[in-house]
Amino acid sequence: MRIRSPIAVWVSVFAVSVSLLVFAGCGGCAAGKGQLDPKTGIYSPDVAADTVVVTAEKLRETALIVFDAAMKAERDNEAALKAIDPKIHEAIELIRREGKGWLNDLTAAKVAYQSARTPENANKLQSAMAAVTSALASASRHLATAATRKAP
Amino acid sequence: MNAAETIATALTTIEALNKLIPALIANAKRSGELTADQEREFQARQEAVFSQPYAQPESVSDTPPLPGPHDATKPDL
Repeated sequence: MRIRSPIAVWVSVFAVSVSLLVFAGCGGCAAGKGQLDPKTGIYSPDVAADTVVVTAEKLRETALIVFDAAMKAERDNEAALKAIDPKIHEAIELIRREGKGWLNDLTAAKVAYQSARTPENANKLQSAMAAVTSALASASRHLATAATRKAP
Repeated sequence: MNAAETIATALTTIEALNKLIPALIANAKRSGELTADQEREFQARQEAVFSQPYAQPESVSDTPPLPGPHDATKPDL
């Protein structure tokens, strides 16, 4: 059995790798200017942005891009990838079932923190970020397996 | 897979790649918090992604259905 579109898998692996490198290499994602108050909807372009918020937003954006690519690549090559390792399918199915919830949880934690920038809300936001980071790493690991192992 | 399918797959993939890289670069360059409009735009894209056919989890129809409500008018078997 062969992968129907190995390029698609490579694209996904590339995307995961680049995005993780970009995210990991951002050094805490030094923030520029621009702060939103979600309670009022007022955006203050001259106020320093919050590093935690910017990091969360970048992670969320990266996760959406990678989840999208991973789900598509896996569905396009489902039978072949199952033959390589059934855990690939299980991992992507988990993203299909829970991915939206993880992102919604991250958004909710981000908005809560933006509304009240307390250490407690920062901790909750960090926890939501950890869940999404873990899913990103999982997608990366399984797609890398798919791209580097030959089907039986 | 014939040649036409291979080319079609490659073109689709290149198109996806063209969309992916600018998005990742733009995301990496951004330094301020999202505006309310950008936040709404993200939510719309998230909805669009998880509405795609390939984003739907497998059907669980293979699992046996849950038992229905007990019908007291029928004897237990």
